[in-house]
Amino acid sequence: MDKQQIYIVIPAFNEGKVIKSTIQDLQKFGYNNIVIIDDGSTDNTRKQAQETGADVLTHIINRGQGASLSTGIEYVKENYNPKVIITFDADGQHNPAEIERLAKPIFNDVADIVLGSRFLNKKTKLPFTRKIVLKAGILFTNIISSINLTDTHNGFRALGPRAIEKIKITHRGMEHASDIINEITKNNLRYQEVPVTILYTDYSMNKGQSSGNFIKIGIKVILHKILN
Amino acid sequence: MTIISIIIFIFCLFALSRVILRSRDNSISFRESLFWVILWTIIIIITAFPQSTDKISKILGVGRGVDASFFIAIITLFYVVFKLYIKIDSLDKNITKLNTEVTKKIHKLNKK
Repeated sequence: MDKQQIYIVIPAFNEGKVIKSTIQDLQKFGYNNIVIIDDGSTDNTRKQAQETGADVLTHIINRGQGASLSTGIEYVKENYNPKVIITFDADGQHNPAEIERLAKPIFNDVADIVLGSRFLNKKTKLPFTRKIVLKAGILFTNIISSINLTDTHNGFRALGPRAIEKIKITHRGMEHASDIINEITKNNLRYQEVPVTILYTDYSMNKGQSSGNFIKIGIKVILHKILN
Repeated sequence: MTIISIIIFIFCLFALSRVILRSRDNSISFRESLFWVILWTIIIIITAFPQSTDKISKILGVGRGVDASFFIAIITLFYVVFKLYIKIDSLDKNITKLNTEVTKKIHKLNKK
Protein backbone atom coordinates (compact mmCIF):
# COMPACT_ATOMS: atom_id res chain seq x y z
CA MET A 1 0.00 0.00 0.00
CA ASP A 2 1.51 3.31 -1.12
CA LYS A 3 0.99 5.75 1.74
CA GLN A 4 1.88 8.65 -0.55
CA GLN A 5 -1.46 8.11 -2.29
CA ILE A 6 -3.34 8.54 0.98
CA TYR A 7 -4.45 12.03 2.06
CA ILE A 8 -5.65 12.66 5.60
CA VAL A 9 -8.22 15.46 6.03
CA ILE A 10 -8.63 16.73 9.59
CA PRO A 11 -11.21 19.36 10.52
CA ALA A 12 -10.13 21.25 13.64
CA PHE A 13 -11.82 23.87 15.77
CA ASN A 14 -10.00 25.10 18.87
CA GLU A 15 -7.87 21.95 19.12
CA GLY A 16 -4.63 23.77 19.97
CA LYS A 17 -3.96 21.45 22.94
CA VAL A 18 -3.99 18.21 20.93
CA ILE A 19 -3.65 18.95 17.21
CA LYS A 20 0.15 18.77 17.22
CA SER A 21 0.29 15.32 18.84
CA THR A 22 -2.50 14.03 16.56
CA ILE A 23 -0.53 15.07 13.46
CA GLN A 24 2.77 13.79 14.83
CA ASP A 25 1.17 10.39 15.56
CA LEU A 26 0.08 10.19 11.92
CA GLN A 27 3.54 11.19 10.72
CA LYS A 28 5.11 8.42 12.84
CA PHE A 29 3.04 5.94 10.85
CA GLY A 30 4.41 7.36 7.58
CA TYR A 31 1.45 9.55 6.57
CA ASN A 32 2.79 12.83 5.26
CA ASN A 33 -0.12 14.12 3.18
CA ILE A 34 -2.01 15.74 6.00
CA VAL A 35 -4.47 18.56 5.35
CA ILE A 36 -5.79 20.47 8.37
CA ILE A 37 -8.86 22.67 8.05
CA ASP A 38 -8.70 25.17 10.88
CA ASP A 39 -12.37 26.11 11.18
CA GLY A 40 -11.89 29.68 12.35
CA SER A 41 -10.30 28.68 15.68
CA THR A 42 -9.75 31.36 18.27
CA ASP A 43 -6.82 29.53 19.91
CA ASN A 44 -3.40 28.53 18.50
CA THR A 45 -4.66 25.52 16.46
CA ARG A 46 -3.28 26.94 13.22
CA LYS A 47 0.17 27.70 14.62
CA GLN A 48 0.46 24.31 16.32
CA ALA A 49 -0.55 22.49 13.12
CA GLN A 50 1.80 24.53 10.94
CA GLU A 51 4.75 23.66 13.18
CA THR A 52 4.38 20.01 12.15
CA GLY A 53 4.71 20.83 8.45
CA ALA A 54 1.10 19.85 7.68
CA ASP A 55 -0.84 21.71 5.00
CA VAL A 56 -3.11 24.10 6.92
CA LEU A 57 -6.12 25.86 5.40
CA THR A 58 -7.94 28.38 7.56
CA HIS A 59 -11.64 29.16 7.37
CA ILE A 60 -12.13 32.88 7.85
CA ILE A 61 -15.25 32.17 9.91
CA ASN A 62 -16.39 29.11 11.87
CA ARG A 63 -18.69 27.01 9.68
CA GLY A 64 -18.78 23.58 11.29
CA GLN A 65 -17.30 20.14 10.77
CA GLY A 66 -19.23 19.34 7.59
CA ALA A 67 -18.09 22.55 5.91
CA SER A 68 -14.48 21.89 6.99
CA LEU A 69 -14.52 18.38 5.56
CA SER A 70 -16.05 19.69 2.36
CA THR A 71 -13.29 22.33 2.03
CA GLY A 72 -10.59 19.73 2.74
CA ILE A 73 -11.93 17.14 0.27
CA GLU A 74 -12.41 19.80 -2.45
CA TYR A 75 -8.88 21.12 -1.87
CA VAL A 76 -7.27 17.66 -2.12
CA LYS A 77 -9.39 16.76 -5.17
CA GLU A 78 -8.42 19.96 -7.01
CA ASN A 79 -4.71 19.93 -6.20
CA TYR A 80 -3.64 16.29 -5.97
CA ASN A 81 -4.54 12.92 -7.38
CA PRO A 82 -5.56 10.98 -4.27
CA LYS A 83 -6.24 7.27 -4.29
CA VAL A 84 -7.74 7.52 -0.81
CA ILE A 85 -8.91 10.38 1.41
CA ILE A 86 -9.15 9.54 5.10
CA THR A 87 -11.34 11.71 7.31
CA PHE A 88 -9.82 11.82 10.77
CA ASP A 89 -10.75 13.57 14.03
CA ALA A 90 -8.42 16.20 15.48
CA ASP A 91 -8.97 15.29 19.12
CA GLY A 92 -6.91 12.09 19.15
CA GLN A 93 -9.92 9.74 19.27
CA HIS A 94 -8.79 7.80 16.19
CA ASN A 95 -5.92 5.35 15.90
CA PRO A 96 -3.51 5.93 12.96
CA ALA A 97 -2.62 2.21 13.02
CA GLU A 98 -6.14 1.46 11.75
CA ILE A 99 -5.87 3.63 8.61
CA GLU A 100 -4.47 0.72 6.59
CA ARG A 101 -7.50 -1.38 7.48
CA LEU A 102 -9.78 1.37 6.14
CA ALA A 103 -7.77 2.04 2.99
CA LYS A 104 -7.20 -1.60 2.01
CA PRO A 105 -10.64 -2.33 0.43
CA ILE A 106 -10.19 0.77 -1.75
CA PHE A 107 -6.69 -0.23 -2.88
CA ASN A 108 -8.10 -3.71 -3.64
CA ASP A 109 -10.96 -2.03 -5.57
CA VAL A 110 -13.70 -3.80 -3.64
CA ALA A 111 -15.21 -0.65 -2.09
CA ASP A 112 -15.70 3.04 -2.99
CA ILE A 113 -16.06 4.09 0.62
CA VAL A 114 -15.07 2.38 3.86
CA LEU A 115 -16.73 3.37 7.12
CA GLY A 116 -15.17 2.83 10.51
CA SER A 117 -17.46 1.17 13.06
CA ARG A 118 -16.87 1.20 16.80
CA PHE A 119 -19.55 -1.47 17.26
CA LEU A 120 -17.91 -4.22 15.19
CA ASN A 121 -15.47 -5.01 17.99
CA LYS A 122 -15.60 -4.58 21.73
CA LYS A 123 -12.41 -2.54 22.08
CA THR A 124 -14.12 0.85 22.35
CA LYS A 125 -15.02 1.74 25.93
CA LEU A 126 -18.18 3.70 25.35
CA PRO A 127 -19.92 5.67 28.15
CA PHE A 128 -23.44 4.25 28.68
CA THR A 129 -25.46 7.40 27.83
CA ARG A 130 -23.36 7.99 24.71
CA LYS A 131 -23.98 4.40 23.63
CA ILE A 132 -27.78 4.79 23.95
CA VAL A 133 -27.77 8.08 22.04
CA LEU A 134 -25.53 6.67 19.32
CA LYS A 135 -27.67 3.55 18.91
CA ALA A 136 -30.78 5.72 18.56
CA GLY A 137 -28.95 7.85 15.97
CA ILE A 138 -27.88 4.75 14.04
CA LEU A 139 -31.46 3.41 13.95
CA PHE A 140 -32.75 6.80 12.83
CA THR A 141 -30.15 7.23 10.05
CA ASN A 142 -30.61 3.65 8.83
CA ILE A 143 -34.36 4.22 8.47
CA ILE A 144 -34.00 7.65 6.84
CA SER A 145 -31.29 6.49 4.40
CA SER A 146 -32.57 2.94 3.71
CA ILE A 147 -29.25 1.38 4.62
CA ASN A 148 -28.07 -1.08 7.25
CA LEU A 149 -24.96 0.13 9.09
CA THR A 150 -23.66 -0.62 12.57
CA ASP A 151 -22.21 2.89 13.08
CA THR A 152 -23.42 5.97 11.24
CA HIS A 153 -21.79 8.87 13.07
CA ASN A 154 -18.17 7.82 13.03
CA GLY A 155 -15.79 10.41 11.60
CA PHE A 156 -13.15 7.80 10.71
CA ARG A 157 -13.71 6.88 7.04
CA ALA A 158 -11.87 6.25 3.79
CA LEU A 159 -13.08 7.65 0.48
CA GLY A 160 -11.95 6.19 -2.82
CA PRO A 161 -11.88 8.02 -6.19
CA ARG A 162 -15.57 7.39 -6.98
CA ALA A 163 -16.71 8.51 -3.54
CA ILE A 164 -14.46 11.60 -3.73
CA GLU A 165 -16.05 12.49 -7.05
CA LYS A 166 -19.67 11.76 -6.16
CA ILE A 167 -20.15 12.68 -2.50
CA LYS A 168 -21.48 16.19 -1.91
CA ILE A 169 -21.64 17.37 1.68
CA THR A 170 -24.52 19.82 1.97
CA HIS A 171 -24.82 20.14 5.74
CA ARG A 172 -22.18 22.31 7.30
CA GLY A 173 -22.54 20.96 10.83
CA MET A 174 -22.47 17.49 12.38
CA GLU A 175 -25.37 16.39 10.15
CA HIS A 176 -22.80 15.87 7.40
CA ALA A 177 -22.47 12.25 8.62
CA SER A 178 -26.04 11.60 7.48
CA ASP A 179 -25.26 13.41 4.20
CA ILE A 180 -22.43 10.98 3.47
CA ILE A 181 -24.66 7.96 4.19
CA ASN A 182 -27.38 9.39 1.92
CA GLU A 183 -24.88 9.94 -0.86
CA ILE A 184 -23.78 6.29 -0.62
CA THR A 185 -27.30 5.04 -1.41
CA LYS A 186 -28.06 7.84 -3.88
CA ASN A 187 -24.93 7.17 -5.97
CA ASN A 188 -24.91 3.38 -5.52
CA LEU A 189 -21.43 3.47 -4.01
CA ARG A 190 -19.85 0.19 -2.90
CA TYR A 191 -19.36 0.41 0.84
CA GLN A 192 -17.81 -1.63 3.60
CA GLU A 193 -17.66 -1.28 7.35
CA VAL A 194 -14.49 -2.16 9.23
CA PRO A 195 -13.96 -2.26 13.00
CA VAL A 196 -12.15 0.72 14.51
CA THR A 197 -11.37 1.74 18.07
CA ILE A 198 -12.45 5.10 19.39
CA LEU A 199 -10.48 6.36 22.33
CA TYR A 200 -12.73 8.34 24.67
CA THR A 201 -10.75 10.72 26.87
CA ASP A 202 -11.99 13.45 29.21
CA TYR A 203 -10.77 15.94 26.61
CA SER A 204 -12.65 14.34 23.70
CA MET A 205 -15.81 13.87 25.79
CA ASN A 206 -15.82 17.55 26.75
CA LYS A 207 -15.13 18.65 23.18
CA GLY A 208 -17.51 16.19 21.52
CA GLN A 209 -21.23 16.27 20.87
CA SER A 210 -23.61 16.57 23.79
CA SER A 211 -26.45 14.05 23.83
CA GLY A 212 -29.02 16.86 23.33
CA ASN A 213 -27.24 17.93 20.18
CA PHE A 214 -28.13 14.62 18.54
CA ILE A 215 -31.82 15.59 18.73
CA LYS A 216 -31.03 18.88 16.98
CA ILE A 217 -29.12 16.96 14.29
CA GLY A 218 -32.12 14.62 13.82
CA ILE A 219 -34.52 17.56 13.39
CA LYS A 220 -32.23 19.20 10.83
CA VAL A 221 -31.91 15.94 8.86
CA ILE A 222 -35.72 15.48 8.80
CA LEU A 223 -36.29 19.10 7.72
CA HIS A 224 -33.71 18.72 4.98
CA LYS A 225 -35.37 15.51 3.77
CA ILE A 226 -38.80 17.19 3.65
CA LEU A 227 -37.60 20.34 1.90
CA ASN A 228 -35.46 18.55 -0.66
CA MET B 1 -63.77 51.97 18.03
CA THR B 2 -62.21 49.97 20.88
CA ILE B 3 -58.80 50.73 22.39
CA ILE B 4 -57.26 47.60 20.79
CA SER B 5 -58.59 48.72 17.37
CA ILE B 6 -56.97 52.14 17.84
CA ILE B 7 -53.63 50.52 18.81
CA ILE B 8 -53.73 48.17 15.78
CA PHE B 9 -54.74 51.08 13.54
CA ILE B 10 -51.80 53.25 14.71
CA PHE B 11 -49.38 50.34 14.39
CA CYS B 12 -50.56 49.61 10.82
CA LEU B 13 -50.07 53.26 9.85
CA PHE B 14 -46.57 53.14 11.32
CA ALA B 15 -45.82 49.89 9.41
CA LEU B 16 -47.17 51.42 6.20
CA SER B 17 -44.91 54.47 6.62
CA ARG B 18 -41.91 52.09 7.06
CA VAL B 19 -42.84 50.24 3.85
CA ILE B 20 -43.03 53.51 1.91
CA LEU B 21 -39.69 54.70 3.33
CA ARG B 22 -37.95 51.38 2.52
CA SER B 23 -39.47 51.46 -0.97
CA ARG B 24 -38.25 55.02 -1.55
CA ASP B 25 -34.64 54.19 -0.69
CA ASN B 26 -34.86 51.01 -2.82
CA SER B 27 -34.25 48.69 0.15
CA ILE B 28 -37.19 46.57 -1.01
CA SER B 29 -38.45 45.88 -4.52
CA PHE B 30 -41.69 47.26 -6.00
CA ARG B 31 -43.32 43.81 -5.75
CA GLU B 32 -42.42 43.49 -2.08
CA SER B 33 -43.67 47.02 -1.31
CA LEU B 34 -46.94 46.26 -3.10
CA PHE B 35 -47.39 43.06 -1.06
CA TRP B 36 -46.84 44.82 2.27
CA VAL B 37 -48.96 47.87 1.34
CA ILE B 38 -51.86 45.56 0.40
CA LEU B 39 -51.41 43.49 3.59
CA TRP B 40 -51.37 46.46 5.97
CA THR B 41 -54.25 48.12 4.11
CA ILE B 42 -56.37 44.97 4.51
CA ILE B 43 -55.59 44.92 8.25
CA ILE B 44 -56.59 48.61 8.52
CA ILE B 45 -59.90 47.91 6.73
CA ILE B 46 -60.62 44.89 8.93
CA THR B 47 -59.80 46.91 12.07
CA ALA B 48 -61.99 49.85 11.00
CA PHE B 49 -64.87 47.68 9.71
CA PRO B 50 -64.76 44.35 11.61
CA GLN B 51 -68.13 43.31 10.19
CA SER B 52 -66.50 43.23 6.71
CA THR B 53 -65.00 39.86 7.62
CA ASP B 54 -68.40 38.27 8.28
CA LYS B 55 -68.84 37.43 4.58
CA ILE B 56 -65.45 35.66 4.51
CA SER B 57 -66.32 33.75 7.68
CA LYS B 58 -69.56 32.53 6.09
CA ILE B 59 -67.68 31.32 2.97
CA LEU B 60 -65.07 29.54 5.13
CA GLY B 61 -67.68 28.12 7.48
CA VAL B 62 -66.03 29.73 10.52
CA GLY B 63 -68.32 31.13 13.23
CA ARG B 64 -67.25 34.77 13.48
CA GLY B 65 -65.43 37.21 11.23
CA VAL B 66 -62.70 37.73 13.82
CA ASP B 67 -62.07 33.96 13.95
CA ALA B 68 -61.75 33.87 10.16
CA SER B 69 -59.21 36.74 10.32
CA PHE B 70 -57.12 34.86 12.90
CA PHE B 71 -57.35 31.68 10.85
CA ILE B 72 -56.09 33.42 7.69
CA ALA B 73 -53.43 35.32 9.67
CA ILE B 74 -51.99 32.10 11.15
CA ILE B 75 -51.87 30.36 7.75
CA THR B 76 -50.17 33.43 6.24
CA LEU B 77 -47.64 33.53 9.10
CA PHE B 78 -46.78 29.84 8.64
CA TYR B 79 -46.20 30.48 4.96
CA VAL B 80 -44.00 33.53 5.65
CA VAL B 81 -41.94 31.53 8.21
CA PHE B 82 -41.52 28.72 5.68
CA LYS B 83 -40.35 31.16 2.99
CA LEU B 84 -37.94 32.76 5.46
CA TYR B 85 -36.56 29.34 6.45
CA ILE B 86 -35.87 28.50 2.81
CA LYS B 87 -34.24 31.89 2.25
CA ILE B 88 -32.03 31.68 5.36
CA ASP B 89 -31.03 28.09 4.52
CA SER B 90 -30.04 29.15 1.02
CA LEU B 91 -28.07 32.15 2.35
CA ASP B 92 -26.32 29.92 4.88
CA LYS B 93 -25.26 27.50 2.15
CA ASN B 94 -23.98 30.37 0.02
CA ILE B 95 -21.92 31.72 2.94
CA THR B 96 -20.38 28.25 3.40
CA LYS B 97 -19.52 28.01 -0.32
CA LEU B 98 -18.05 31.51 -0.26
CA ASN B 99 -16.03 30.66 2.85
CA THR B 100 -14.60 27.55 1.15
CA GLU B 101 -13.64 29.49 -1.99
CA VAL B 102 -12.03 32.33 0.00
CA THR B 103 -10.14 29.79 2.15
CA LYS B 104 -8.72 28.02 -0.92
CA LYS B 105 -7.80 31.33 -2.62
CA ILE B 106 -6.02 32.69 0.48
CA HIS B 107 -4.17 29.37 0.90
CA LYS B 108 -3.03 29.48 -2.73
CA LEU B 109 -1.79 33.07 -2.35
CA ASN B 110 0.05 32.25 0.88
CA LYS B 111 1.76 29.29 -0.77
CA LYS B 112 3.18 31.40 -3.62
